[in-house]
Amino acid sequence: MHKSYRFARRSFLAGIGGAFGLKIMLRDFEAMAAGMTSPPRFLAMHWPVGTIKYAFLPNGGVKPNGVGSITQWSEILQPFKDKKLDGDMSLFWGLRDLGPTNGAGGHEGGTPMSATGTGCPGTRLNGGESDDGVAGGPSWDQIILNDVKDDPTTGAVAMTRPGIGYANAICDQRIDAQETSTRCLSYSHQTADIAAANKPGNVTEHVPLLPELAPASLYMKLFTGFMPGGSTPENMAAAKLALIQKKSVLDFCLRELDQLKTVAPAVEAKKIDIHAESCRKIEMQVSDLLNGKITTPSGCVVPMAPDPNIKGQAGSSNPYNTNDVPTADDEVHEAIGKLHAGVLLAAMQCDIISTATFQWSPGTNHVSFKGLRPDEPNKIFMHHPQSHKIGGGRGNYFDAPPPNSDPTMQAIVQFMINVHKWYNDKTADIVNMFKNATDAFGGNMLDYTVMPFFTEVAMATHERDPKAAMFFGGKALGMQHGKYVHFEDGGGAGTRPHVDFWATVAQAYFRSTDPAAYLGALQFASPPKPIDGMWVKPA
Amino acid sequence: MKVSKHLPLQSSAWAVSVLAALLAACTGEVDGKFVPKDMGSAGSSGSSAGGSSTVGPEGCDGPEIAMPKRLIRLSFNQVASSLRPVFGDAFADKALQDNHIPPPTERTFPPLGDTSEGSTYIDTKWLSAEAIAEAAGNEAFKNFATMTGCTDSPSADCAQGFLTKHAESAYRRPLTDREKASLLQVYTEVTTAGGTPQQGVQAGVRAIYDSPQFLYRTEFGADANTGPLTPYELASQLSFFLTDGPPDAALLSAAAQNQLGTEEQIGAQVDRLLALPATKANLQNTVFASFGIARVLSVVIDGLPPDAFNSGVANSMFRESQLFINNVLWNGGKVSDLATSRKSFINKQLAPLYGVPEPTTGLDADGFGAVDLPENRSGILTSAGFLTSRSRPDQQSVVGRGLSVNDSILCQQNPAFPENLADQIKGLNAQQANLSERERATYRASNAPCLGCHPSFDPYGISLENFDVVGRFRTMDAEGRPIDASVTLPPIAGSRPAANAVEMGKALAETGAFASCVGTKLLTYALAETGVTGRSCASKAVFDKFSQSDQSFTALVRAVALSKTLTQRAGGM
Repeated sequence: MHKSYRFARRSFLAGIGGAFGLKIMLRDFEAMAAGMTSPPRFLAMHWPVGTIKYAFLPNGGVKPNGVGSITQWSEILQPFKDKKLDGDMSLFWGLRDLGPTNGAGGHEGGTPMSATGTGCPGTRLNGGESDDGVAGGPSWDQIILNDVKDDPTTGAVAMTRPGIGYANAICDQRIDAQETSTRCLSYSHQTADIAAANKPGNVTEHVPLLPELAPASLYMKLFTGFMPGGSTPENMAAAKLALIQKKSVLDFCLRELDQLKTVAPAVEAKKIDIHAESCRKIEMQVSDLLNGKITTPSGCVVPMAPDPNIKGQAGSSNPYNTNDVPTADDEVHEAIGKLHAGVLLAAMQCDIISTATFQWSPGTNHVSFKGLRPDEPNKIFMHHPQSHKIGGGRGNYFDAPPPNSDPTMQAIVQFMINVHKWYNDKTADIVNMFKNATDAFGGNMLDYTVMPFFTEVAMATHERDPKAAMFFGGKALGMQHGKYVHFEDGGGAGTRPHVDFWATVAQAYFRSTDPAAYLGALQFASPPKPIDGMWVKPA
Repeated sequence: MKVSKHLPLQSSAWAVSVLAALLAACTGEVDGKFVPKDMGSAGSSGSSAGGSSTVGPEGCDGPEIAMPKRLIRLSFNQVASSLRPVFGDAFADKALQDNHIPPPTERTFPPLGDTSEGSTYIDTKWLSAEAIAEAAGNEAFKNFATMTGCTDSPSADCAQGFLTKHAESAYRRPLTDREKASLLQVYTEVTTAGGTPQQGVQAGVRAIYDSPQFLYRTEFGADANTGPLTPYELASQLSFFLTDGPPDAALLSAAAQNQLGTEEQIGAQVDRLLALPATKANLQNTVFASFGIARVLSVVIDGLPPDAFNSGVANSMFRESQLFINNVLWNGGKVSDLATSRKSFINKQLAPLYGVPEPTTGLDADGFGAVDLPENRSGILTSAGFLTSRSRPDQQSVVGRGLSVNDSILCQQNPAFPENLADQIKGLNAQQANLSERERATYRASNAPCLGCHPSFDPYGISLENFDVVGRFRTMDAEGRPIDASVTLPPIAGSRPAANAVEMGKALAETGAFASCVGTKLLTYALAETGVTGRSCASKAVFDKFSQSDQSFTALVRAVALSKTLTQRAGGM
């Protein structure tokens, strides 16, 4: 691995001489931190292209519809056991996406449907294919961010933070045909009317909150407003004036947007509202900073910015039938993933954000790996294009391996298994970054962060059930670990709506076994119902 | 206004377009994955004016004034173009780089359809715009004396005068009294809080580039009725369409003097702008992007020797297509020459691919020189860049190429891939593995459910069968069978017989179908956010005007720029 891609942990600065945030300079943070408990956090993570069932399912569980535990780890899941996360995770099998697709493709529909728990109202006109599904609802990271409120009766703690309060990261953005859907896990509560590809006219989408591709961009978005220097009187005065400047500019913007709304056609009000809301979030953050209302833990130290030249690749092409390629991505892919994760971790430690999404690559990805196809150990193959070589009908080579008479297919399927193992191994490293970190309140970062890990399709042949998912962490929030639930019926179909996976996790934030009761008018493909036995309300 | 009197195009492209659109409403089987699809849909954000259900004159859809009053956000490139003359190239380039905006030749079409753009400023996208504005403020602070012309200890009048003037340039129109007061309030708040005049200007400049007046352009017109854009709105509309940048001093002056009210006045400005290098660069990039040839840079081709296709060859194909398009657009030819011309510009890497001698004279800095390609070539249709960009790694794909011509050359809406038939298609492909492409197309044309859709695009792909996966001419397929590229073209191309790609190109040119599509694309680009369909009355009006001209590209640009679709907005607020 190239040394320059390593996330430089030592570049996190500490002490008075480091890079201090305005937030820290403007209040007595030591006093504020005293006696506080760690806040809940949420990090949704995604892996691409489903799984291979026969190499994924561990032994154990109670089939169907029961809660059991893993008795023997599978080939694909073994990295989590090897990296000692077996006591920090639970596993789900047999989930399914519900709701109409309206022309959205396998990965293109599956990604927004999985992330939101509802169907796709249509597809986006983007100059590419006509199957780029739009989101029919907000994603669950946004639901948890915006719909969890302070509630003394349940003990729920509001998840919103001053400013935007969330972040989204992706490690590689190469896709098929200019689609947005496969490279976005996060969707706003706000909607917009956009040109539709599956019908004349427009379709209403929940606005995609696109991820940052470069760790340096992610860093800039999260740590903007922090400025270097110690807490000298001069620096404090300069910081205060900078805030006054910014507040004045933001107030001006809001004033002008309000004025614009009075003269613009009614149909454009939504566009102005979205803009104003984005501006208002930052304006409120700045106002709170000026008024000393923001609390930031003393352990918050601003990391050095990652190298701006390190970022994943982007682009659009459809090399479905390609064989090997000349360049492997795996080392850089891993490095970018860990850089992103480091920035997200630091932002959560500093309480700048409470929710985030992390995506390795789209389902329609072109990420290439060297040495993972056993029949061609010196060659490099791309993940998603190889998946298209698994032809045939639903679930081909999903339940059982290819026959010995087809060694090439055996090698292709094993390649897919190996890529899933690769992703799990690197994801385990990221989970362990959280496990090995504490926040300023003394809480373990993993124990206060639930990290759902999900995929957009069930299998290489694009079906969307029975799907797998899992979550890590959240022990202090009541999440139960070491569980294995299995919802595949005798006919090989997943029986539990994917939205129930989210509802299960959401219990930890709403502190209720009925999170749907707090979701107001939000519509889902089926009512979100938590899966029993996965959460116990903490004392 | 100069309007050349020429015979209208040979047949009514409109009639065949409408007929083809009706035929395209098919449901059926399509082989394989798709490449780019229809480029526009009628109607806009909830507009009743542009509703596609309205039937206009002569069977076209909707009114000619297709767009409602709107608010259009500037693309990040347009933001950068606006900042470039003020803060310099390095500043503007950094803004583009920070926001991952690809170079003009590699952008999606239309640009606001790109995932990095979109029509709204939501959260991180707004933060990007805010970061650019903050950087602009910092530049003004650092270069205070140079930018403002004020002294080191400036008076409030000087500093505020600068801000007002600067805002007029950024807003692309004079400020109202309210706007002026609102902006100067920023200066006052900062200086009252202890900031220096320089810091007041810093905040003021940041506010200007954060303002909705800068980040959007309005298309509201003077009142709620159907009618023309205001002169300043029209100045911005024309300028961003033609140059992808803000209006220049002459255009703003014309707006100030109300000299953009007649076709002659608008036409004079269009003619002036058409002579600018920035306009040529923008429009040729737009036409190039609309054909999707940039895909050739990322396409993967298997099974060829490295010297037959590599990144150098792909870059050469890309460059050749650019040079070919630029030559046709600006050297007095007809728009339809894009579909028929054999004059191209190649380098030594492409010479063997086309089977012509390497050009040795008149080479440009990159080694490209003019050549006449063989008689089996026909414009963009048979260019190596277009053909290769649509190839699959192992084959050229009749269906893929057919869909590409249907969509990006003829502006027809491709049918959605029938996911419910995916297994059936795979099975059929396996059964027909030993058949020739023609035999497979013949099967699709005569058997349900394939015949519902494939006859509307397969013929284009068959007609291009003489060109292999990287566009080399061939007479035999990979199995050594002779290729028969003769077809009867779909109705949009006049239902004519065509013996090969050259005759197809000729048919597309003579029926007007090709030029009509280029006009629709230009109109879509000019409208920025929402496209129009090839069968809309907005497109028809442009095409009618164009068909009465010398049919050059500049005539097409003029027809778009002067159209009511661009210069007027439907009533209702």
